Amino acid sequence: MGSSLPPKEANLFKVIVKSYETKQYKKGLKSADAILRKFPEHGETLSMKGLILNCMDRKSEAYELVRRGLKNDLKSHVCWHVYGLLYRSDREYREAIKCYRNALKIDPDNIEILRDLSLLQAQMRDLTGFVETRQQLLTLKPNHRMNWIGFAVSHHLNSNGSKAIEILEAYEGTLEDDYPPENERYEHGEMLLYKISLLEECGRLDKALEEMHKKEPKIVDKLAFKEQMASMLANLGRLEEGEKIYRSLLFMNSDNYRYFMGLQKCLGLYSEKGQYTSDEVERLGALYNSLKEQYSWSSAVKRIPLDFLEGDEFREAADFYIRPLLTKGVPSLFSDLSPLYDHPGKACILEQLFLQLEDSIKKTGCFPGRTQKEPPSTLMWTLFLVSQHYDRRGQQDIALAKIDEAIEHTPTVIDLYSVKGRILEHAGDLAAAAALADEARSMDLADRYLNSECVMRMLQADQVGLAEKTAVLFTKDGDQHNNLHDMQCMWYELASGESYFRQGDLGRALKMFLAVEKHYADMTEDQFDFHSYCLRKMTLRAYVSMLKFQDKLHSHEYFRKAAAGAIRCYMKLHDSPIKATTEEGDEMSKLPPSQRKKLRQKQKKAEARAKKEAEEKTEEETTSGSSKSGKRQHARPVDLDPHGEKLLQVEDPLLEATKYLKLLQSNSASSLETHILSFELNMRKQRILLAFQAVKKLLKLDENDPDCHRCLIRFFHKVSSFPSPRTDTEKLIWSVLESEQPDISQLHGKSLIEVNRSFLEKHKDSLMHRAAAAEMLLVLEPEKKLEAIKLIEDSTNKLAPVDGVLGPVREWILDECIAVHKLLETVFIDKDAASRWKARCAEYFPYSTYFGGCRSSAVAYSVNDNVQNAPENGVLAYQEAKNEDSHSLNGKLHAFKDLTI
Amino acid sequence: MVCIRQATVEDLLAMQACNLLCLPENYQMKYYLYHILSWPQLLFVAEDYGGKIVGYVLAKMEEDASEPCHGHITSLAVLRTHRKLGLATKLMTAAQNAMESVFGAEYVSLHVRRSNRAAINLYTSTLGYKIHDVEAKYYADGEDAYDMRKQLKGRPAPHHHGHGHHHAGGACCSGDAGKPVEADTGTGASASASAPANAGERRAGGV
Amino acid sequence: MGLISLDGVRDKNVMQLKKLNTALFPVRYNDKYYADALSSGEFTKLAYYSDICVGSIACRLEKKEGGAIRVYIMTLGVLAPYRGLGIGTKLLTHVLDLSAKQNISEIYLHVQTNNDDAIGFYKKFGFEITDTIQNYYTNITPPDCYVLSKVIAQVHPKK
Repeated sequence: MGSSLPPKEANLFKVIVKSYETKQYKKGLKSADAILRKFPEHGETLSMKGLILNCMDRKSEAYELVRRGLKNDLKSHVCWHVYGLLYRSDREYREAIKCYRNALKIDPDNIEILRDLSLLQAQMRDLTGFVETRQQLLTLKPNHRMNWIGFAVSHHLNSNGSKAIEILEAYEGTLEDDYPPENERYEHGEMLLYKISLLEECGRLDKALEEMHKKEPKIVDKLAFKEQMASMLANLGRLEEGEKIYRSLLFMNSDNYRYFMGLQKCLGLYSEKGQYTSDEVERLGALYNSLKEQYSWSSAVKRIPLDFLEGDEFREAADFYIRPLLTKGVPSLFSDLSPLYDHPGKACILEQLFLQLEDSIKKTGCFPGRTQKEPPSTLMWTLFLVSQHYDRRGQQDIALAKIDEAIEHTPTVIDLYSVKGRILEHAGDLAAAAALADEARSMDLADRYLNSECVMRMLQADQVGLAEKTAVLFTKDGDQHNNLHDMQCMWYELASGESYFRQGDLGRALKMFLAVEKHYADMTEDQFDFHSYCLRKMTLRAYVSMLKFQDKLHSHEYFRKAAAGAIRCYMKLHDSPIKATTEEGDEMSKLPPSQRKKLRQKQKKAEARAKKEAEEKTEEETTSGSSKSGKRQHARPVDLDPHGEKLLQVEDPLLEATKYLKLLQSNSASSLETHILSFELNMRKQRILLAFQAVKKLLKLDENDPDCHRCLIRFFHKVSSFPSPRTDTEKLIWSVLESEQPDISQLHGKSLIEVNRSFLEKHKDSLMHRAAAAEMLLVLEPEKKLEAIKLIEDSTNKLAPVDGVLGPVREWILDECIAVHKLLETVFIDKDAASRWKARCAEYFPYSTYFGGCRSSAVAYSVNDNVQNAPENGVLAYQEAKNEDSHSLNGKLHAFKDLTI
Repeated sequence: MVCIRQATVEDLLAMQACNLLCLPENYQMKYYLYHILSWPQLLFVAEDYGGKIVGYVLAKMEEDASEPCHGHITSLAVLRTHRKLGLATKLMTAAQNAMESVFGAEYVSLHVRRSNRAAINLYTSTLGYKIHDVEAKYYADGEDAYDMRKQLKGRPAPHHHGHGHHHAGGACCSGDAGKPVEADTGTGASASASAPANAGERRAGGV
Repeated sequence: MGLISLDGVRDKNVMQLKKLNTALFPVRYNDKYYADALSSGEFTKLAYYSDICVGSIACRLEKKEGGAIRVYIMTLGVLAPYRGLGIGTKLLTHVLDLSAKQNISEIYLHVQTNNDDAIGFYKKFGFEITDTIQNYYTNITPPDCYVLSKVIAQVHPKK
């Protein structure tokens, strides 16, 4: 390094490198300039100067200098290495790898470059390359622990677990018998546990167990040791030993559900689907009865039996479980019980039980069969439970009556308002739901959870501005307006994006969706620093699981929603392109050309100014150092496109959409939505074969789904309308379709009209299927529009086959009915039919604002019930009321203050 | 019933979401990764019967060799909907036990907002913490923090003597002595934390 | 500590007091009421029954001529289902004890003339009817009220 320089400058060069490593950039720059004064074209110095400028956010200068440096000294591994580092800092890993490789051609044994290369290979999952590089590093420095471990891990990642085990054993062979010293016990223990998990992964369970017994004193993490031992014993069929360990784990933590399942496995009493014979149920009951005695404080031992018990036994156990929780006032009781609603028959038993408890407490103040008085709050918590039960059953009118009764009983319990808001949301009154959530929030302004819930409801009600104002109460960060984006608050970004999309503001919607996408890209990036860190820390099990987690990061729900949202925005943008984009655009078109040019220049200047200000600010912040609490001060560039208008100016929206579709296809291939989007997108792009692929995937996933049926019909209907093929490509497409069509069983010997008819026949009792069939009838035979509409209108909203105690439950779901209404309005374009549908649904969903139901806030803009309540002026109540006070409205509840219609 | 178990990397996104719902002090994903990849034993979650994460504790070991080996609770949260189940106590106990048994921590520290009476009450009367110090204007909004500590028993004395390390359960301060540590040229070697470590703001005040 | 505990009123939870007042009293209180309550500090309290806010006492500190302070109880109430558990007593005792500690000698309040239960309650604590005001209330019958007062014996600091 710096070898071609005279001694004085060579020393200065060392100062540059040192300054760079210690982040003393100004000092480094000074030294570089000193060399360059004498040797202005010295390649390595130019490169280093560029690298330092890069760290000071002077990107374009950096690239220029580094490239010039390299040009001046193509034979320098330093120049190539620096070029690689520059690319690396811009996340251009493939380019960086190329540079490192060039550097290594010149200096093949350069450890630093090899190590940097290995990190990139791990990051890019170039696993064969990773193995090679780690092997080289070990060969060069076999006395470093990290090189052994790195080599082993590289083989493991490259699917060669047994090789990894061999390497670890060879490494252990280099250690003294009394290894590790006290200060490395943790690291060594982690290495041993890693090796044991490798043995288990390779199916060598006996060897793994043997190793565990042998190395037990050297393993520090006793909990991991026991958990692993227990699960291996269970898998080996050594059930009695396994049982013993699970029991000892339960002794340590009787709240870990997994230990109970492990114990059940060891006793031969475990079924994945929770299906047991009556004999097994009896044995399970006995098991949990005995555990109940041992762990009387554990709620798990009381809750788990509710899953496998049936009938009277279930009822009795549920009663036993529920009573103390009502007395204590556990707000999550309903959500804890709610999985039982999927078990046939249990919801009805619970309903009867709840109502019996309510009745008894109201009449006697005691639970049935007891003489001990319950505290006054028990009735309120019981009403709270009953209300949520009816909400779950879709009987929102009863749910609201019950929750109002609870609020009247104790109007200060915040949970009641939150739940009332949720019920109203389910009932379709989003504005009222938001108002309720805001009322709950107002009752404890210090609680962020209530704030978050309120913000969520406001977004659902499309009150985006209000939602942001409310969220900001908790997210101010210094002089920053809000830190929701910096803190990766994805639920917020998604919910705002969806609201903007509903309101047709595609720019802002896209901005939000892409923000979420960016978080995932950042998280992928986050792993970079840990490739070397974990090898040092020896947290290898966690490291490997982190890599696996990263590999499927983009299958996470939030990403899926954001990508789907972005794709929809781009398709909408394609379908109806924004003309002159912004208002200014409109203005501009009115101006004569000369003035137009001036205006454009003005705009450009303003943009440049904003950008410059942003850069200056960035520099200021990076130099001002970190604050007292150690918080990293983020450089915050000014947002040049706050409304996402620039995002709308993409040349080819469908091309953008394709980027996100690819991510969905490779990470969420089992989701119907992925392939529906693929179908929609490829139909727009006229990519017939890709659209066909999507149809095939959809049919495979769920041929009975109404949307799949739509895609199938639309696809073949479209294909049939094509003129006969002329070009070679067209002929090829035709021949593929012709050869594949027989694989689609739906189409065998039937016309599309017949396919649609038999789909309808098969699903004639389902509203959504009828709607799909009607829509396809319109596509295939536009003249039969009236017949199609009749298909929809003839649907009947049947009573659900559950015997509710208080009133009937109907089958139709609000969201589906709204979808049908939109279909009538926008696809059938039949106002009369749409308004008939609306009137009909307003009766089924009286709280729905969409349908203008009679009890929705859109219709009955009534004052809050609470204000109308007759005040209870009881024994201890008395009042001060001067004349002016009694007219004052300041104490008025503001449940509906934010209501917008 | 809520399950208390050790967190896995798969839980981190849900932990972050839970944090963002409940607390005013938030962290980027990298900070969670930093915790689980440094002290995987010290993260616990509370998972409800439907598999949803309703609470968590994020803890770490302090690696300042000038102080005795001790742990720190970075963040603790339980969804408001899941209070009154004793989850915070169970999560804290689990993390404390792991600090003690795996890393030999002599004590554990945490920060709490002065105004957060519910949390202070939990720490003092249920969990046995004592106020050690006050850190003026610790929080972004200018509120003071109590530096609270709880004494742990520490790991029993090691079997091997004569290695001459500065304290008995020194596992947590390793990473320096006598072993090769790779120097790093690009960005910082260790994952840098993005925010200060705060704990227990179950009812922390908004700004 | 038992099931019943007291907590102060702050900006962040003043809505709890408003909710209680809405449920308990037929009038709406104005901003001044809440400002007075907040500034009275420890003299305004919420009562919690196993973590549920069920009652409150709200006072105003009034400066008399000569600079002495007297306490005016603006409201005292407990939600109906939670009465008879000693919560009202606990709230009132708190204020009486606090007054004594701060060497405040006078405490008073208004009560509607027909509210026998309330009058009986206060009498138990040594309050006496010292005045009657005609047409004190505008919207309720009877519109008259009594003034109930109590003189508090001074606590002599132990030396």
